[in-house]
Amino acid sequence: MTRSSSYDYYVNLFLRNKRPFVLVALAVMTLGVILAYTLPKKYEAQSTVFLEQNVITDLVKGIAISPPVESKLKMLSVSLLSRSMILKVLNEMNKDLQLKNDMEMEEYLGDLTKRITISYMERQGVFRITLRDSDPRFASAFVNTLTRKYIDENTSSKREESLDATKFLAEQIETFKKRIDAADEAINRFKSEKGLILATDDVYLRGEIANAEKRLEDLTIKRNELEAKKRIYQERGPEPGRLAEAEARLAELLSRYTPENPKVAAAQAEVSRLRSGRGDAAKTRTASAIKDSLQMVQVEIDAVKEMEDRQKRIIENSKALLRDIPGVRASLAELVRKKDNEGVVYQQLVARYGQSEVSKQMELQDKSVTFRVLDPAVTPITPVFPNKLYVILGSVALGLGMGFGFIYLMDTLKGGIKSPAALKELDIPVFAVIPYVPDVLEEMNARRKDRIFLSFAAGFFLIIMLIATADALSLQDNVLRAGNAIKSKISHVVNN
Amino acid sequence: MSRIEEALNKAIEINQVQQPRAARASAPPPNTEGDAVVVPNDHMLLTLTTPNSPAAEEYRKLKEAIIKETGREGFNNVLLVTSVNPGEGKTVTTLNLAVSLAHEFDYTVLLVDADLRAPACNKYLGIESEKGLSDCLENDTPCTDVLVRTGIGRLVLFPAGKPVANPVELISSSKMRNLITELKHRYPDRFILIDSPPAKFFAETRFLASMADASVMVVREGESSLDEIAETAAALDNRVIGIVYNGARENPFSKASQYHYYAYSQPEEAGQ
Repeated sequence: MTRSSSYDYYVNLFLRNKRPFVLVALAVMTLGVILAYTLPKKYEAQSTVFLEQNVITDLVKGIAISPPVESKLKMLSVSLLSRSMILKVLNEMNKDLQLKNDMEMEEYLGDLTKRITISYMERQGVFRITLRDSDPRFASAFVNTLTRKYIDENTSSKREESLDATKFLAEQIETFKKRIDAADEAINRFKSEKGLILATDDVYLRGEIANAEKRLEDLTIKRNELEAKKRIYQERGPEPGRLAEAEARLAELLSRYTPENPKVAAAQAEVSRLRSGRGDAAKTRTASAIKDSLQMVQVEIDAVKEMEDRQKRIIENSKALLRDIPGVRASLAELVRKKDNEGVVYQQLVARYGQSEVSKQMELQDKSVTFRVLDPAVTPITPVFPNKLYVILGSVALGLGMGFGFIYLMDTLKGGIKSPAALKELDIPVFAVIPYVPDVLEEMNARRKDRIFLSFAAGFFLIIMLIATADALSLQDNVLRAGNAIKSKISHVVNN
Repeated sequence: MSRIEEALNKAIEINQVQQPRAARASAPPPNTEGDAVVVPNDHMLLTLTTPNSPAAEEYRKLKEAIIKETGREGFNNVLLVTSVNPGEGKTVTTLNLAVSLAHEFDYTVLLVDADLRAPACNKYLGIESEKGLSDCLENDTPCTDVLVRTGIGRLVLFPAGKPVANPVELISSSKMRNLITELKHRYPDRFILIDSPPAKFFAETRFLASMADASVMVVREGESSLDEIAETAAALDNRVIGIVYNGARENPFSKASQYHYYAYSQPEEAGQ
């Protein structure tokens, strides 16, 4: 079925089934009107409370901490709807006497809590406590009692949070003070133990090591020379240099002259003299000289060795110090950091302790937020439920929908093809599409009957709409009255 | 004066008493065979009363389609008109098709009212018939004695006759088959249109479908479902050559409705 043919079909369906449509619609509308007038009435009592934030809160901002309005409201909402609070109010109103047993009491409490609404008007800075009940006097009395009871309890019961906070902070301050002292002591002890290391500069140490190494090297060279000298003395006597020179001279002369040359002969004589010495006296003198020289050299060697050992010790000590420096410094830094941390917390605790003291005083005197009952609940005159206008208008809309739904459902249940296009599925050609041919007389009769029927239906509908309009007018009147009341209250607050 | 003539004259008198509606002016011309002229008074005979209406035009389309379909392989002249459910308009469709065919110069039409349970063709044509098909089958009355010349072109009515208790037995009998065969062969140049009971409820329609050369199914908008139509077509041995979609309703607010234009274009029809 194409869209247009479908549309045409449903227009025709509607036109053909005017009567069932109208009957169903009017039946639903009538039910709506009956419902609007038979549903149990609910009255709403409302109390408006102004939540005033004292100027002292701004003055002590940063010094003292007062709970924000939001948390106050949260607390308010919870405590207002708490079982104990509602029980107290019911008790005061002697309502609990009317309830037979605990089960009934629980049921009543549960139902009552659901009917209480607490709303906060942020722009106006007020909150409203509302109760819906079938008894208007009970509703207003309950709301007023609940409001008064809450404010009384709120002002009489002091919040112990600040008190507890102050106490806690004092304890913590004591603890942290001890911890800081302990950290100080640990640092001092460490410094005294590792003072040398801490006082030593690693650059200086490195220089000292380098110098000692250099000196050690010089001493080693010197010792090697002395040991070489000692060896020569032991092997060749005290004049090994002269013999060598004589031999070198002889070799040179032999390269230039014959052995018979007097110069060569003289050189040979010198060499042999030096090699053999000259007599026993000379030998004796030479042996003692060698002994003296050897002793001298040995003394020098011992001295040099001593000096070498010393330099080695210096190097080892310096290196050990150099290795220890980072660890010692890190340990000291750790101790200092610990102490600093403790100090920061301690400082914060001390600062908070001051704030807490002021806050405690503020709480004790209840100077942060005060409640003022702006608008006590009055006994409501007009019920808020059922809203007849909405119920009637809703039933009108529902009636129209159900009317069309009914004829659509009937048509669907009846089945039947709705357009020639639907026959395409059968593979049988459609030879002709004969339009609906009305019987003129029957049509006229039907129209006449339709006119009468629709006139009655229109009259009935008009009555329903008149009822709805009358209710709308009364609602409008109520709204205007409520608006005027709110305006006067606001102007009263502003003027005050 | 024969009994048929008497009956027709009586019918005319009744029609005149009943104040015919818009139909009278369009009554067909007197036939040349000298029979009484039947003046149908029913507003549903649109091919006769308002030949320029959209509905009459659709019936002409149906006629053209039938002629084309039946003329494909020889002249298959026996056509059954049926529907799934009662009240879908098969009698009116058969009558209008018959009238439309009867206006053709080339064809004569025999309209057989085989709906022995609720015969209506004679009522639409304004004819009171005492004898008909049931008499031919039950009492062996010769069919020539029951045929009624309607005076609408070359349209002859074979009325249903008096009501019977056993229509299925009669229709399914060999007599009926022989009768159809006789009619077909006696008048080979004729269209024989058979108006039948609704196929969903009565078995005789299936017998008639087996006797006819082809079937046409009338479907009324919103009456039969697609499944029912398919089942009926299968029950008729799938010999349904076409469907007539009846009672298509137009959106009265739609500009597509051309009925008034046609009515306006034929003031003589509208005025009378």
